[in-house]
Amino acid sequence: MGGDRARILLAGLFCWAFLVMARHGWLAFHERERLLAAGAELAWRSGAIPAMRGRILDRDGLALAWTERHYELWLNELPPSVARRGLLEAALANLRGAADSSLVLASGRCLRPSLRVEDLPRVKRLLAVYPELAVRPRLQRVAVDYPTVRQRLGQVAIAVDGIMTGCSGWELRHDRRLRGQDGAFLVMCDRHGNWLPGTWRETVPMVPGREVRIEASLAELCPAATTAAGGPDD
Amino acid sequence: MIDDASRLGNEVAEGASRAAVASSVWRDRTLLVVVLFLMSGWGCLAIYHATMNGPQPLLWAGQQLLWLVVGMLVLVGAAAVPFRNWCRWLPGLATGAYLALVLVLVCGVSRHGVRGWFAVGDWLVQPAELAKPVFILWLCRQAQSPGPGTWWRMPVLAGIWLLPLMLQPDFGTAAIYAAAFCLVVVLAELRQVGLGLGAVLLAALMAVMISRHPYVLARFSGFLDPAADPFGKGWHLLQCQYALARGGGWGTGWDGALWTQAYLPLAHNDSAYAAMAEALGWFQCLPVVLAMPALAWFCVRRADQVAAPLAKLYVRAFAMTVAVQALVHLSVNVGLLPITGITMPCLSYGGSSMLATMLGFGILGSALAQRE
Repeated sequence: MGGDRARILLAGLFCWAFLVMARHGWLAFHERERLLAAGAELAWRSGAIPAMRGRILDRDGLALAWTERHYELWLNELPPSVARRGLLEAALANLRGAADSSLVLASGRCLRPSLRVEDLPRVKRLLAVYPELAVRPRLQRVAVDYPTVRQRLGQVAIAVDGIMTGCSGWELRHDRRLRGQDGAFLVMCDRHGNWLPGTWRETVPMVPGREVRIEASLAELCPAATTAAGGPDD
Repeated sequence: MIDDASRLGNEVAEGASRAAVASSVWRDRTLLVVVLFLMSGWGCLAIYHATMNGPQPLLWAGQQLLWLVVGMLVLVGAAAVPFRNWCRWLPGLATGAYLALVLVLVCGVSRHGVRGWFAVGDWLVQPAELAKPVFILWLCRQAQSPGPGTWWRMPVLAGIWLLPLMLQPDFGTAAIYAAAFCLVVVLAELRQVGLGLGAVLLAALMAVMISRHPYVLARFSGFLDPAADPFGKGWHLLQCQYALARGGGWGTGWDGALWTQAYLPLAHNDSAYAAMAEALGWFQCLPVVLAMPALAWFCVRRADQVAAPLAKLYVRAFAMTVAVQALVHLSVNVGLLPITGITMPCLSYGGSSMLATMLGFGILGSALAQRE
């Protein structure tokens, strides 16, 4: 009983399966280019690799101005549930230490401006558990802490993507030599905007800025100074 | 003396026949166990790769592996129970299953807007899945019960079973139950007017429920034109399409399935096929698509050798219901159907689904022993 009907139904099931395969094949072969392009538009992000601005040295080779790279911990989006926010606050409190008092979580907020090297393993674990967090690099222009020298050095404007431009003083005069050439990169991001490991690639190489040597020594610029703070030997 | 020899000969022949049948049954059950184990093991691997970049990479796959082990025990144990015992227990099982479906509406927990789970400690149990094989066996029993009112009694009773599912609301599972009902009616060669009545009742029920849950209409509109609302109603379908496109013919490899890890929603259960397709590609997914229909074909072939009508009907109906569920999942993932939340038997994550599938196939294995 029902044997013939069972066979007819089975045939129907196999036809359905072939329809699924055909549709899959349509998407995987015929529509592939269009869908890959649409997906790339959604997922791939390009960005600038700010060139490391060159150092300004005095006649004797002492660094007057240099660039430092810092890493900041940001909260991109607030966790949706109260319970998750509590867990995140507790995890961040362990990271920030007892010296930091009440933490107010808000979307688009920098939680820690300069991560230390010893923080990085804990931050890595946090990022795996809380994709709402992100680590962003920040370049900072540092100069010797003497007003007369700072006045001669001038100011630097830092754009949102980290590209530095001299605005006044020696920074402006030697800007073309100091600024180098910014690079560019492509990276695939997940739906939270976090970079996917292994997808970053450089599309334009970054050329760091060159050093500028001023025809004066720190002692002449600032007679009160007996030593100058040296920058990183990069 | 001639009679004794004749009797002895008949006994020997009978014994040989019984031995052959027993051997055949053992072979079929072993094949069933091996195939289901391999499919479920493959599912554990796929679940691991879909979730390995999360905070607990071994959690989902580890739990599924645990359910696989328990499921195998259920499969073997259920197959060892004589089919007549399942028939004897059926009224109690069906009553208990239906009560669980009603009780979950009162004291169950909600997930994704569906109140369909019991919380047992840290575990979630979905009675709608566990009730499925019992419902199918019960339907088969009803279809086999002689009586003038079968053609209308069956759709009404099936509708009563579907009602708590729709109140959860779990329309996807209700659709699978409805498909099982249609399969049993067709396979049992009942009067088709019963099918028509059932369709009318079901349509009326669904119309009432859908009017109370606008998200169902949103899923349909997302299905018809996903690009119209790519970050809303069309999001899930579009991510499945992107994953399938990335897989192409031969896939990106498990480690290269970035879309699964970064964008594909519910890659470990609702989108399991799309996740697999990204990693394996079209060619290597062919066996996955054909696996359940092939298993249904095997079961239907074996059902021809089953003597008891109820057992024969159950083998055919259950095997085809599982194949239908698998094809619904596949169709959703390739964009032939709207998002339903239906999981792929053996491959998608879900303890209740795993146990229900193994229980159903265990009863099927028991039914296969009712040979001529």
